[in-house]
Amino acid sequence: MRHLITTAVAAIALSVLWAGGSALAGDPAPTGEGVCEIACPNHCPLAKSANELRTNGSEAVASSTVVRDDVRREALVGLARI
Amino acid sequence: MRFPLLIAAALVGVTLLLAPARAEDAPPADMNAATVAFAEGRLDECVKICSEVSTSLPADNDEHVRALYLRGQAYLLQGKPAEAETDLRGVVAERKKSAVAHEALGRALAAQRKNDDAETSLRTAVDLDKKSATAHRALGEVLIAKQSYSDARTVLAKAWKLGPGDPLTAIPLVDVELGYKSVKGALKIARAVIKKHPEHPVGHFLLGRALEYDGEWKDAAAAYEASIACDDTYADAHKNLAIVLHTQNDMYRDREMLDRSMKAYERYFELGGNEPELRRVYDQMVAFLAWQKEEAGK
Repeated sequence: MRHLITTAVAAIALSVLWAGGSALAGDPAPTGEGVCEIACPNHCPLAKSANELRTNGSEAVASSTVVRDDVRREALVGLARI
Repeated sequence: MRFPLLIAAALVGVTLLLAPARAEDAPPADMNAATVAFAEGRLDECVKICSEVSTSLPADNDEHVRALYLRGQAYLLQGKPAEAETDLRGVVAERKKSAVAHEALGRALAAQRKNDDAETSLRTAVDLDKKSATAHRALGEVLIAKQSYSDARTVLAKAWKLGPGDPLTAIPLVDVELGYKSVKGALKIARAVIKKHPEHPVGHFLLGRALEYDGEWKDAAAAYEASIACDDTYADAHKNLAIVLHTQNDMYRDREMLDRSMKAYERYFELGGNEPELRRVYDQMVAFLAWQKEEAGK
């Protein structure tokens, strides 16, 4: 019973915190002629927010060692053709 | 992975050395050093050498043009697209018929979200070299940015045909396929990348993306983890892993899954991830967990 009350209070607290937050970021996935959505079984509003924020992988050039190696290799191929 | 880069750098060096020598040419050794620095990721050093080479030579000199091109590429990798654009416009001015030059300029423009100008440059690149997979890829990415998804799909399919299994082409291609609800198409592309490049993080990451849309979240999480095992610096994989573990853990009943999710968020931010809304979510999760711990201790 105590656990249920704690969980309920936590859910209310999270709802208040979320409502006070800024608007959600834009949808990262392209929509084209149809919309692809991923379900979010977690009822927590923070999870619902996070569910809209997936990346499509395009941030790779900024961080991934392997992808940056690929980009450098392509640039060097271009250099030989300039 | 570094070995092929050094091979490419060596080939460029040999090409430069075998190029016809002219009295006004700078010694190719400087561009060799710049090329090796670039190949090894020492971008500041590459920029410095290219600056020395370019300032000592007239604009129409071959070494000057190569120095501008390489410095422009280094600037792009350093996240300085405006500086890259200046250099690459210089390259295009001297190499009007070069698809490579127009492509590089297109990328610099796209990085600044100058999408109309980027499209113009990249269409020129594609017209000059109809078999360039990279030019088609870059054009496809710009068309996605302009929300011309049908055209993007056509162009990226061409890029894929010219360079099948290429991880960097697969990223925007899977994006478009999922946008058209073609989960099977996305899965096929991801698996093709994994088959050709099993040690590359992007194939596994894209498989994870497609599996999430297919409702297979556990397999998706495993795929993201496989991507991280290939390259722990791939921030995108940490981000999506954090989100899938977070969103599938209803009311955080699974403590171990919650811990894995928080660790993945932390690693994403450590790697420079700066999605502000996600930072807000993470910070509020941290506050919530601290509050919960305090309540449990009472």
